Amino acid sequence: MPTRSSKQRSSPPRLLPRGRNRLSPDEVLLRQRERLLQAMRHTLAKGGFRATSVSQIATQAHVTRPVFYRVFPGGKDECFLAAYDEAVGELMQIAETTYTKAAPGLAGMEAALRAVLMRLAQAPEMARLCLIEITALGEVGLRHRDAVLHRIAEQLQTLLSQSEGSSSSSPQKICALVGGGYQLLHLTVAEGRTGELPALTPDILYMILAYQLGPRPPRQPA
Amino acid sequence: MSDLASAQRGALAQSAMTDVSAPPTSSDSAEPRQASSEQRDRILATMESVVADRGYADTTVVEVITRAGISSKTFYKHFSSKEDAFRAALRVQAERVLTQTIQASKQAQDWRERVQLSLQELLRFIAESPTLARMGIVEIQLAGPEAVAEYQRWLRRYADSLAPRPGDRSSATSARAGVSDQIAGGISQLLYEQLSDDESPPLTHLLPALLEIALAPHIGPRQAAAFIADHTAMTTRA
Repeated sequence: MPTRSSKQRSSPPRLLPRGRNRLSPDEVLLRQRERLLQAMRHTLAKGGFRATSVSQIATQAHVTRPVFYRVFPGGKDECFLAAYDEAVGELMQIAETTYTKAAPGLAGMEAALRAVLMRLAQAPEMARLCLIEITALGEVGLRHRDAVLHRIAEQLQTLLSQSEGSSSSSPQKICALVGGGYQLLHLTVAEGRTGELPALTPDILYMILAYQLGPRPPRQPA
Repeated sequence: MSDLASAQRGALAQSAMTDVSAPPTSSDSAEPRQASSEQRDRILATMESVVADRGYADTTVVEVITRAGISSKTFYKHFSSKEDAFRAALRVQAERVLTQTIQASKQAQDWRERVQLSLQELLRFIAESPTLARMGIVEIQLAGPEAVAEYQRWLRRYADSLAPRPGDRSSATSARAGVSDQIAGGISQLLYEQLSDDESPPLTHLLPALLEIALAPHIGPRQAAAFIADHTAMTTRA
């Protein structure tokens, strides 16, 4: 089994890879998992979840079908959800890091949202995975998606209640805000305009003001 | 499934066709086509009731054809899959809701009232047919990316029906791109959350919240709040 990717780290390139027996079984499993996730993302980008087969993913990752099922006993669904969770985790991380570095409050939220949308615009296959393909998994996919929306709503609620001078936040309005933003992103990606995502930042932010969820606008200087 | 059973169903479907048709003259005559559209309607109605009983995930084509008393051949003559038939059934209902909400809001004096009447009609429909509403808002999300895309097209049409038109009084902010889609998405999400709960109470209490979602992005939070205070005290009893 080729382990080329693992060799890239050792700086003086060896003429011949030393072989996989240097890796512990756990490491092998981890690398196989990483390769399979990458293959999943790759094949998804070409044909969508339904058109993607376990064999295709395994072939793309240079592993056998039994290896696939050893890493993902739950099959294609489990592999997809792992890729989904990984992508969402990365986006959440981007949002968090950007927010902490930027000014708090609305400015930070804008920076965080923009950073996430930039990442999605640069990686259209990631945008499709997170927004479109997740709906191909039926109930289990829907539960994952809902959990993500709830997490975003919770974080938003926390941020908004922390920001200075914020008016009382209502869970219903936050729910609408998240649902509305999600709808806008979903439509934009579904229509093949993924590159335009960052330009939606002010549109989404505007709703925070319209629903009076954010800090009250600063008074005009006299 | 036994051959006998499917032969019986075939015969049933056959007799359903011949019952309504006059002596067959040519295969292209109007009667078989009419029978065919009746069959289609029957499949759609049966699809609705099976999903109402079982939920979309546990619905099978076999159960639909058994209950409808048709052959699987007949089913697949009209629809390519369970998903296809489910979408077609919901499409009929979505058209109904879209037409009814527009109809109900026709007597409105101005744009804000139009939004109010439309949302009231939407909530009335949900209160009247909660199972159907659950199918059209929650279960459709289980039917795959094409079904979700179709749902979003309905949402967009609903969004357009709520948006102020050139002659309507509203603030300049309504020109902002993406506002209508976000409003419709917000309304949809709120209804989705409520309907996902099997024991959700009637949703008529959501009117003020939905009104704020729909109005505030266009006329600002203060004016929206004033309108809601003026108008919902007398309408919540309706």
